[in-house]
Amino acid sequence: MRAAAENFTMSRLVGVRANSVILVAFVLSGALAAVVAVLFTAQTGFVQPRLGVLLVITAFVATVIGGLGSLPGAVVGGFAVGVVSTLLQAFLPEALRPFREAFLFVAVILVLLFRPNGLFPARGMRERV
Amino acid sequence: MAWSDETPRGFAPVAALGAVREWLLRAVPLLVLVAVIALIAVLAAELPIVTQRRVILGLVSLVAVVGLYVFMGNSGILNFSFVGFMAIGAYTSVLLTLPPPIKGTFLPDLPGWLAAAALPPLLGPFLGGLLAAAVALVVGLPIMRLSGIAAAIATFSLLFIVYIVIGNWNSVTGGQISIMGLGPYVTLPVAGAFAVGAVAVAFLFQETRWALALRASREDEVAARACGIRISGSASRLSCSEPSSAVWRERFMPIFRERCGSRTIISTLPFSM
Repeated sequence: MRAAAENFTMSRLVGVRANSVILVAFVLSGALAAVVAVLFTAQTGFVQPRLGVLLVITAFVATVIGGLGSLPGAVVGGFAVGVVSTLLQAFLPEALRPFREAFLFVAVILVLLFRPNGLFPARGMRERV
Repeated sequence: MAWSDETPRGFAPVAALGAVREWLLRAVPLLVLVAVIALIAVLAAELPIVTQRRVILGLVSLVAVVGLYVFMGNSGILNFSFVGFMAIGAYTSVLLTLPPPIKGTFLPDLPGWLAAAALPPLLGPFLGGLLAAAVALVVGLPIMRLSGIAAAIATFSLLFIVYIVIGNWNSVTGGQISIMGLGPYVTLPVAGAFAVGAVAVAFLFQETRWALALRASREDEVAARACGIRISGSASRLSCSEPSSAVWRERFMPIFRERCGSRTIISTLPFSM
């Protein structure tokens, strides 16, 4: 899988069935998404078409913050976004509380400015000449 | 510059003619596009009013797409914040040009000077563009140092910040409510003129050295940097893509604002995601 991500043609040349490998990952990730949705709706108790928008945005942002391509990165990114968001909710003055997400995204931009590849960049992700 | 032997060096008019011809050849895409837009605008004037409105909306969307091209096409960076700048433009234009009595009913808590502001409607797009450009310049300085997916996420975060601020700043933007009552000043000639202007600005921009450097960074960032183009990461403040992105917004947003203003006017719905 990681070989296919790093160099598609090369991995095929050494006998990895790159297409099906990526398909498997896609299927797995889809199944996990459904699990998340079930957990989430079980908590809130209702379903509507736009339910997942904010969830996906947060997840996507958290993945990138943590570092694409590393499992610890994804987990830490998720926790970081959650913790920052909760802290903002607790400590922001009343008048600024509706803007909580805005502060969260300011923090996201700041993290990206200092760690463009995320907090835990995967080793193979760096661009080589 | 070294001329080949065939070039009649001493005969200035011929050389000048050659330069004009070269310039004309380069400008062919611009001239063709302008002609097509003008043709559409002129022909649409003969159509029934409902169809005309559709054409106007089409021209307005054209301005938006050309605006996207100016940055995304030249830089290859996914830019979601575009929609955020549209929102800034739309709300600025509404706040400055809406007749004060109507404004008072929708937004009773506006600061005094803003509540009293009643500028001519066509000034709205330009002022909205100016404000959006100022915001883009300030935010672009840090964000344009990023590239690839980090840049995309950063612009996306920017879009969300704008969306949340506008959606919750009840005293100034009215929060989630819609503000209505702008006059339908985007007629067919106005929309056509702004579309032509947008295409012209985009074309002129893409011919500049900034755009060339920007496209170089899109093709191959490492090679571009090796050629001396400052894309990002250097200690200096203004990297190559920053001025260009700032420039496009600076020059383009005023026109682009029209899109938003008109959208707001035609369908009377200020920015909804």
